[in-house]
Amino acid sequence: MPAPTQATRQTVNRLLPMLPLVFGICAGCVTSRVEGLKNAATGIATNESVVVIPASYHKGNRTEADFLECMDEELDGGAKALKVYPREKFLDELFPWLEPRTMPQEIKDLPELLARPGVSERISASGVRYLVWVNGSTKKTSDGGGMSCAASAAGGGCFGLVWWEDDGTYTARVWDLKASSSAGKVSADVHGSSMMPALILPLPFIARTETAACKELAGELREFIVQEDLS
Amino acid sequence: MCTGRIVAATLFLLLAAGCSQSLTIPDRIPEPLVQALPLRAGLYFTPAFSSYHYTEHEKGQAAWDVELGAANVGLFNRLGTRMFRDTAQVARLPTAGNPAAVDIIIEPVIDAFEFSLPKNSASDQYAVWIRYTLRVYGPDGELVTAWSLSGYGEAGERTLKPARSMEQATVLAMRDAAAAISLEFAVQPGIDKLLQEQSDASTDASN
Repeated sequence: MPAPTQATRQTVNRLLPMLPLVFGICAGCVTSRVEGLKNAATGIATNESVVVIPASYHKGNRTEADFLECMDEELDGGAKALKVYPREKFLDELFPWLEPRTMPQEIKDLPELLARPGVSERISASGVRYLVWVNGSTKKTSDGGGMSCAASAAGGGCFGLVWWEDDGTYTARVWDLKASSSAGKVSADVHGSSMMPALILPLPFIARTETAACKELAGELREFIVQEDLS
Repeated sequence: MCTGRIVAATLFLLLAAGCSQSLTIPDRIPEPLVQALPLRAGLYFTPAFSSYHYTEHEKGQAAWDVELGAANVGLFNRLGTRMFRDTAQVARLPTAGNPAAVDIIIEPVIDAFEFSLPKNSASDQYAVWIRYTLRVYGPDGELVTAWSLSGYGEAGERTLKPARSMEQATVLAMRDAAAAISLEFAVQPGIDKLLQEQSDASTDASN
């Protein structure tokens, strides 16, 4: 294994005393802010369900597929579980009205959609009461540090520290299909700091920003829908 | 020495195989929830369309081999079933001397299949564009309209599954085009006139 360079040694020497502090304070930490804005009373009957649909990628939205799957699982689980209608099935049953190029963009477009031949009937048959439009994604906002690795027949190892930060910003707009109106929206802003120090072996301390955003958004959304009053 | 060469060659072949992506796009676009137009339509699929196959192999890049024909035949058959009063597949285009017993004949053409990989766009998205032309003929074989449209789809990168992402983006592009066709076909120049004539004829017949 080649010897670490002078610069690498200096970096490692500077970082070594800080590592325990950094681990304790910041490794894989996530901070979040969740807000809900309710326009109308909600509530859901046992035979009613919700469906989560991503906003249009034609408009630049790039909500991750695994975020949507996570939302479905989170809403469908726990003490106040909601019935979640399968997204692909709903989109197929209403094809082509909820496609990225044709989906209603604003609540004022909803009555027109519901008036289309067959649309209301299909929605009634599905039992979907709330249509949840999810917009947003998780993006890396900054990164830094450095790590050098080397290997030989006698062994190998890495030295250094890399870190990065992610921001997950998501909004869920809730449309009440029964009332043909907007019930409001829920948003989640999540910031995650991750780091990977390496002293021979790299140790990943990774913030699961997207998963945290999904859990926060789904939890707030469930309360938003289940809690009937406007508060 | 010989063993080392065999190992190196095996590794090279495995890597080369990993770089080549071959996929057949599944036929899974649903029937559109639209009211049928009062037209009898014939669908004419050329061999080039039915067996459309896109290949790309640039030096130093991964090879792509995308089979699109069968899925597109399925797509247009399904669209036709719901968009028109009657639909049938026809073996050839009609002529003045040999007219077809339908109101229109639709000949779909794939003009281009294009894609962008995450490394091309500095994002984590696979993006696909499919450009179609729908040539619509009257029963005597005269061209009513040639409508060019494109479908766009994108799908997030999946670790070690590039073919899966490309398939998903392609299906979404086909779905996007199908949405446009099912909602905008009736207002295309020539088709709108034909529909107006049909409407006038049925009004006259009922009077």
